[in-house]
Amino acid sequence: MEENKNLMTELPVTGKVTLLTFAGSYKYLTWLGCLLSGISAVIGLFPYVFMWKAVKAAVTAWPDVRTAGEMITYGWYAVGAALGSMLIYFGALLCTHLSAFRTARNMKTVALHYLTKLPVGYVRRMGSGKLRRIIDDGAGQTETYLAHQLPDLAGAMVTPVAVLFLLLFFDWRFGLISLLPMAVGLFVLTRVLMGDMENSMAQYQNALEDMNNEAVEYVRGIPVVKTFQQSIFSFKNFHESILRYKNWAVNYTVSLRIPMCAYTVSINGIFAFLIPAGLILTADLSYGISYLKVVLDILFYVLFTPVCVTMMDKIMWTSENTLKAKDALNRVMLIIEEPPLKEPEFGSIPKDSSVEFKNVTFSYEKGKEAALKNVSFKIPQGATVAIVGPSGGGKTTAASLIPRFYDVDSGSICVGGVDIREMNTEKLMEKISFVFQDSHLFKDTILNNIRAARPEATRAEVEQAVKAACCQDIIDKFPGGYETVVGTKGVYLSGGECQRIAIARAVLKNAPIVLLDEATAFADPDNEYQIQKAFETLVKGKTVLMIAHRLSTVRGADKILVMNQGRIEEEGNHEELIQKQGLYAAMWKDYQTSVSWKVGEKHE
Amino acid sequence: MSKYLQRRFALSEQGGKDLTKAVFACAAANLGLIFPMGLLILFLEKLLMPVTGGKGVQTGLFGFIGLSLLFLILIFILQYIQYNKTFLASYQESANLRVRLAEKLRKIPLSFFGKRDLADLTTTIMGDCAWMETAFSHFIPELIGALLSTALVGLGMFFLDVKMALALLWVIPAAFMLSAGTRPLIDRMERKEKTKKLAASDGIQECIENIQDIKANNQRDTYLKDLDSKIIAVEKGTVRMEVLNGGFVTASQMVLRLGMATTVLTGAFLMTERKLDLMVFLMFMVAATRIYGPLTGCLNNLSAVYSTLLQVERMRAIEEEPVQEGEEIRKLSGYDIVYDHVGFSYHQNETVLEDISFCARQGQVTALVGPSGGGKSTAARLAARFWDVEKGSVTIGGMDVAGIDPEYLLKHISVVFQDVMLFNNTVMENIRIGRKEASDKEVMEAAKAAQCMDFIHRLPEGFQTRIGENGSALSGGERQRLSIARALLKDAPVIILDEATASLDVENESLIQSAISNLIRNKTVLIIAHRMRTVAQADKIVVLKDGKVAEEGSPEVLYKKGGIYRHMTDLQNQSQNWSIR
Repeated sequence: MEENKNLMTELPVTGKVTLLTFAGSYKYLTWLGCLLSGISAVIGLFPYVFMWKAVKAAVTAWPDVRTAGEMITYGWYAVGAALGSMLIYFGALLCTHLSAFRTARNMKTVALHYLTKLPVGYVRRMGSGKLRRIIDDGAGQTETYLAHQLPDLAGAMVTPVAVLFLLLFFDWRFGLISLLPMAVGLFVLTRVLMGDMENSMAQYQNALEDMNNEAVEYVRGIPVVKTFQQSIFSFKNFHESILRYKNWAVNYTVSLRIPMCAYTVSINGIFAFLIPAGLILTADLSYGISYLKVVLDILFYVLFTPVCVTMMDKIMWTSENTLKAKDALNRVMLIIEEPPLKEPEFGSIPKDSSVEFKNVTFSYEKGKEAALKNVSFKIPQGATVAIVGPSGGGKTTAASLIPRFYDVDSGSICVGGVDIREMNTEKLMEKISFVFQDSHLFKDTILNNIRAARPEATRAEVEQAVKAACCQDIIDKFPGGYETVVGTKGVYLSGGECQRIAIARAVLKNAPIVLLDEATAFADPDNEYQIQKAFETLVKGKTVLMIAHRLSTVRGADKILVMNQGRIEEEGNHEELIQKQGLYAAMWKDYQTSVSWKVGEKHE
Repeated sequence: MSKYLQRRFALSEQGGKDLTKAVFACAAANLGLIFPMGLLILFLEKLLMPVTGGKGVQTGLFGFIGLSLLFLILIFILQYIQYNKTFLASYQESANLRVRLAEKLRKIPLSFFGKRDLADLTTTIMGDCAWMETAFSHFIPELIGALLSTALVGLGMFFLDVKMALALLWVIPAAFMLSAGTRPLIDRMERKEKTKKLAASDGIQECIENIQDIKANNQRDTYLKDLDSKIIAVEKGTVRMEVLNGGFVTASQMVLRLGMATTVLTGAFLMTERKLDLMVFLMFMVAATRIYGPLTGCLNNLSAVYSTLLQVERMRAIEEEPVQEGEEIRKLSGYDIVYDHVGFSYHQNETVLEDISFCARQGQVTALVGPSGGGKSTAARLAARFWDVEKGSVTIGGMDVAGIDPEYLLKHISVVFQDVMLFNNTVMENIRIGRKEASDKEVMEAAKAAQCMDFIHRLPEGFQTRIGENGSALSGGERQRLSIARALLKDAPVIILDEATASLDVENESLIQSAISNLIRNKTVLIIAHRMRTVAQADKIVVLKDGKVAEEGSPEVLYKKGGIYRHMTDLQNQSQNWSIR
């Protein structure tokens, strides 16, 4: 697609990153939009001047209005200026909106592209929901700021200058008098409101966020608390947080009440100053040209001052969305500032398909207890090694490190004699297949889901892999067969079936190293049986690392590693370990006992 | 008006009344801001006496000052009242709204929560409430208030001079009609764009969830290209929407401003014909500069109010979810669970249970087995009223569960499900949820029986350790054991175990198996398991296949029968002994 040529998938390397960096070449549109908005704001003042001119013509010519032909001209000018101002404003908004939408789009694509360069472990740690909210919702939050706020801000900055000019131009005395109440309003605004504004905004966001967090806890917990008859209590907690928020909001609002009313009175009270001033200043003048001039000038102020009210209001409401936009930007930057998986400059090629852990230490979070402590072992090419041990002992962690889901803290992992960090990740992935517990399928046809492992594979090869992985029955279940799209209505694959398709994928890939998680507990006996048969096909002739949950499955392995609390406690094949009479032997005995346990039996 | 607002915006009765008051307060405040106009005209009349030759305006300087002060005070008072009636009232109403929704969520079937992302659900609900807050305090009262005050002023204008009033005011209904008339078109387009937006959001979600597989298969470039085009499509669509929307809005605003032209032109014409007095003309001119500004704000409020209606729809959907009612009967006489021709489906064409009938007796262990998707978990959950049956009935101790209050029913049932839900609280409190009045000692005893002591002692603060959101600091097996401790603490007469040990490995499994044995003496036990050996000593086996009871009987009888049960047991025995290589 041609569009993709202009697509921003990376941030430019230099300089500080702001929202507009994400706008790319469209950032000029933002500036243009602001400029146009300023121009529109100034032109928007002209109608008042023209109206005044029309009135002036009428008053001067009164009562013989027929001679005031220019009245009509000015009338049209006024309309022309008003319409022109609006069209320009529309143009301004168009520019800023284009830029805002482009920015949102780029934020999403840059973040997503970058995310795929990060270690998989990062995504796991953050959680998919959280990341989606940051990327998808976050990008949306910047839109209002860029599309509306910025141009309005531009207008709000330009208008006072123009207004000031006009106010002082006609008659500086009335100008100053008109400014007085506005100054009072501004004073109220800055001292009482603005000073606290950012702080109060923050407090407001906090109170809102607290209540929202309570809401999530409450909703998430309903299934549990209902089951344990405690929904009324958890409801109470949430109820209280709602009331707390309300009370905070009410108190805050009440504290602002008088200042706000005073503000409104002052900016709308220009008439109260204008009228006495007008009366005083004209009192001494006898009717003549100068009198008329003064009166006409007063007329201008009478017509013009509503503008001041709208202008002041606009200024007041401009700061609201800035914080939200800044916040969204910061969160996206958190993702982008996360260090990516370091790729070597020139990747080394592994000699064979052996795997070796050398003094590997790794912890999921800095400062927390290490999940793997100084682990070393070797898997020679073609061998099958199984890891057993209590849950949380490090089995899954060890297997996750081989495809570089995370990088080790110290020590190294080598494939074919080469440190995996010295290899191009692409090359590494080519050598490894894995079938873990969380097998996900894409919203695509079954055929494409399997073919994802090797897109150049022919259909015949896919069908062969399916047969080898004992999945034919799954394909046959659906009338659409291979073309059935997974994830749409009515197409539901159970956990066991997903896993089997994942195995078919791995069979098709035919990579020399296979990482397996043998968990078949989610599967019913039929699926379980098929999965086991499929595993057998998958591991033929490969270098295999299997995470085992049931001791019976590892009996034939070339080597068994017993991992407990991040360390390898014992190592050897089944017979050797039984003879050792250590941890493995005890586990084996336990397993034998539990295998014979049945519900309802009296247990000693 | 109160009733109308109450209905349209799904408010409480008080809310409707309050919103009505807010509307009138806004209208009054607007009028308060407009009245000074009269004073200004009086002032101008006085100044222009030499020109118009009109009668003298008697009011002197102090008269004007006095009147001005009066008006200022009036403005202040009306603003104050408006402030109260809008902000303060709306916070109260939205608090009520949140509470009502929370109450509602508590009472709808547990099934409602099963398939949704709860964080998203909550964000939507809370976001809608926040929007409603602004709608009640700003959009709605300001919109209607402005319309009211403009209508009153307009009426006054008509009394002054009909033709001029027409010239001034005709643009208002025109602009509003334009805005309202284009609404259906915009709605249609919005709905189209929404599907695209959803596709992109889903795509982003899928990318993040499947990132492991995308990287593993070096699929990055192809996959991202596809996702990119979805995101680009959204951008294009949004731009189109904006141009359309913005275009119409600008058009409406432009129509408003035309009023200036017509006023001036009509005034010029009428004055030339000597049908119009200068002062009246001035009055209309002054009005023309003041009237359109607030109305532009009105047009914006109009689209905001339309959006509000959408949120109201969403809230109404939740409020109209059927609630599960029932009585809290004093005591159940016995705990036999009987399924009598039960039928159930999730949606129209997803029939899970066709017609099942069986009995799980008190004091016995009844096992539900069968292929995945056969309806086992659903059947068990029906007994606990997670859903209500469509056909037939489930009775406990002879009483139809549909007549029992769900929470009260659950008092008698301990459930241990595969997916454990824990809170970001201490271990002690998480277990104590089983029975709120339990003492610390009782909690610890339950923990001991559920074989939890070893890992609890390893935690930094033992029982007082906080376990993170949904127990993220613990492993799967540890969380399962906590769940069993809860059930032990509760000590209910009916126990439902759904794959309670499925995700555990050897060590944990044998520990938990002994814990469960402690749990089940003399109770009605309904167990769902895939492991045949687990249920081989049950009193009765019920095989569910394709939503029907395929086989029923004691394990020995069924095994001899040589049907599905036998097939599954044999297959699993084989799998038992499987080893890699």
